[in-house]
Amino acid sequence: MSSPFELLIAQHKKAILEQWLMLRLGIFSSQKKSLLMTQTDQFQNPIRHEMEQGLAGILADFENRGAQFSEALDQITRVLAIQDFPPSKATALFYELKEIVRELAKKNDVGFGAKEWKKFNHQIEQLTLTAFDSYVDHREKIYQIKVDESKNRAFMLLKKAGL
Amino acid sequence: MSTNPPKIAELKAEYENAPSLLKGDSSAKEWLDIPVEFRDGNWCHAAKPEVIENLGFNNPRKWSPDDPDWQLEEGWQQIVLAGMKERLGQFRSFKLFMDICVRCGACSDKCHFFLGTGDPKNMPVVRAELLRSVYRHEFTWSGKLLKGLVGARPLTEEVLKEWFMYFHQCTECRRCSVFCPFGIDTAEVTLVGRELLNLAGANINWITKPVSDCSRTGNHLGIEPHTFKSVVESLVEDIEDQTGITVNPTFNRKGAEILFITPSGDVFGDPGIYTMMGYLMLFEHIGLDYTLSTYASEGGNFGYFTSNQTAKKLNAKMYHEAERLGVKWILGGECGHMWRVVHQYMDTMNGPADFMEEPVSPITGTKFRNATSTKMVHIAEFTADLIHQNKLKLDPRRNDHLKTTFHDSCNIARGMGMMEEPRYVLRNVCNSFNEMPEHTIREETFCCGSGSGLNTDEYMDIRMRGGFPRANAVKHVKDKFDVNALVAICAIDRASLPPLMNYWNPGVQVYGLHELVGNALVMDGEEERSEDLREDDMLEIETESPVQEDDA
Repeated sequence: MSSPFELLIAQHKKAILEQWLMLRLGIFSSQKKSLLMTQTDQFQNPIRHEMEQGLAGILADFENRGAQFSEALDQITRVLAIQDFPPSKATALFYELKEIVRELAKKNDVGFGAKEWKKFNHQIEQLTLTAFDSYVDHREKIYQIKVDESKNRAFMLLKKAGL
Repeated sequence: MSTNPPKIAELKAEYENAPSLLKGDSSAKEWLDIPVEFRDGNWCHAAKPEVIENLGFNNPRKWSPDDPDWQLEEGWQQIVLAGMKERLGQFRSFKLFMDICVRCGACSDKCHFFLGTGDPKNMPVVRAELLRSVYRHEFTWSGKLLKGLVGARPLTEEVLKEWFMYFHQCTECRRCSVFCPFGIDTAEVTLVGRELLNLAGANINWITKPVSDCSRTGNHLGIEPHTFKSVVESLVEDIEDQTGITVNPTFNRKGAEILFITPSGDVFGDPGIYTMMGYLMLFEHIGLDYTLSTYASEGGNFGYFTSNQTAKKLNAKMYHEAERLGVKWILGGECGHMWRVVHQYMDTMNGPADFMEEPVSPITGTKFRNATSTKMVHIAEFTADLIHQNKLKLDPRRNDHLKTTFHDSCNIARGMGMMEEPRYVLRNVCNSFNEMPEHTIREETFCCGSGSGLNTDEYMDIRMRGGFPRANAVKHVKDKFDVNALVAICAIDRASLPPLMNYWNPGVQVYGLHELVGNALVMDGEEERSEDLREDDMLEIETESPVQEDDA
């Protein structure tokens, strides 16, 4: 059975997505109306598109962390892992979600018991660690790509040298 | 790059304390006042002193862009400003581009680096403004009198660092110029920006080393003639192993009808070598009288990313070798910037090449009137003509294991307007060709993110950001049509798109157009083929199905 938090997320998916997306794009630019936030075309603003798709995927699959969840999270961390942000900033997305949900609960006058909060906090921590794993996967991929590229560039010379 | 990763506290301090346009603490500051930050992954290694000495450039020294002190020589500002003045007189386009921008913003969201980073200084208008602000300060009355009020500023070391950062976050792809109502070509601004950086001794090794190598041996890798020849011969052996056909390229043969020049990446790099195999098979199939040169062993021209003088110097070997060998005309392989230089500069830089003839295909008799002046024909139009005249025996089913899409290389599509010929060839050598969305191809094509000499591994983070818009469009066709093959006609693409795909779209491989031609080519006397040129399995082909016949 879904937790009350998960039900709350399911009921306000659209509003949460909007707010969450702006928070995530906010780490790219301090401008309130940067092109990254306002341009909605998939191909003319791939950062926004990928983030929106990823966050929507996470929200849609919040109850059941299956394959779709990993793919959606992957979509987000892939964009963030090559940017200038430190890992802590890049992987803080679920803490942002926690704050959004907390505000939402307050606004809608939904009360939760300490036990439920504890469970939700635990869930957010787990998700954050998963995000960290996903981020590190992408960083490792970058280093692997560097090695592969060096080898491929002089492929024939290495082959001639029997390496 | 530093050996050890930064400590958590250092990272935090770096992010929280250092000002940046991307962070929340820049609201009260003008963009001009935000200093650049060099951090691992966003800068290229500095040119080594011996390379700079070889080239006779200014201020050879051991330094790194993330050093606080760049060890610039005494009076470097005067040298750079004199260089700027000289270029304002020499290039009317540069002078015009410094004056006419009205900041309409049409270009602002067109640059792949802006789209991949969100950094306002990657908007083409702002990138050009980095140079314009100094131009105004030094060369206009309004700038001299009103200074900051009209966006003018003096040339300082901080400004030079900013130029270094952002003129190396422009691949000279010219997508922005397509949208500029005035036709401002930001690539030309970057070209001049990099020339000025060279005057100050702020060069990168990935560009200057190939220029130095190329000056000595004729190719960017510094490969000497015997190695070049033996590597091509081992590709000949690979072709023999796979097809049972022995192809017979010749080297430096005087009296050949055609000189074939291609980027050295096709000879040495994976996956370029498979494209090279495709060329060699094609030439054997049609019985072309051609030769390779071990000196004009490089079509690419990193000189073009350095200065117009070095571009001219490296380009000159093409005509020199054509004249020495006495060929009638030159056929050029799949390359990007090589063709921008050939198409737009070679004739006036090193021509006229009166010692050659107007190119005529010896197989079809087609006259390439577009190349009357340069005497150099692009392989895609040469092959498209062969197919159009039904001179090739092709079985496109041999590429049925590939679902392709086509990446228009910037310099070919925007630089020389060639868009249909490669598509025509591709449609004839494979059965599954799927276009990427409208505003991401042809003249609006997105750059690979690593062009103009930026395809070095220490720059991987920036390259992944710059290539993101291209990768995003590929992802669309991958999801929609199961595309697994990205075809490109540029050696830098073939080198830089594989890592880009590996990161953003795992499972999509990068192919040269003539690799697919080589796969599809049905050669007389060949052995039965079940693998493509890179030894991947082809799908099983039913033998009774008809094959496109030739009338050769």
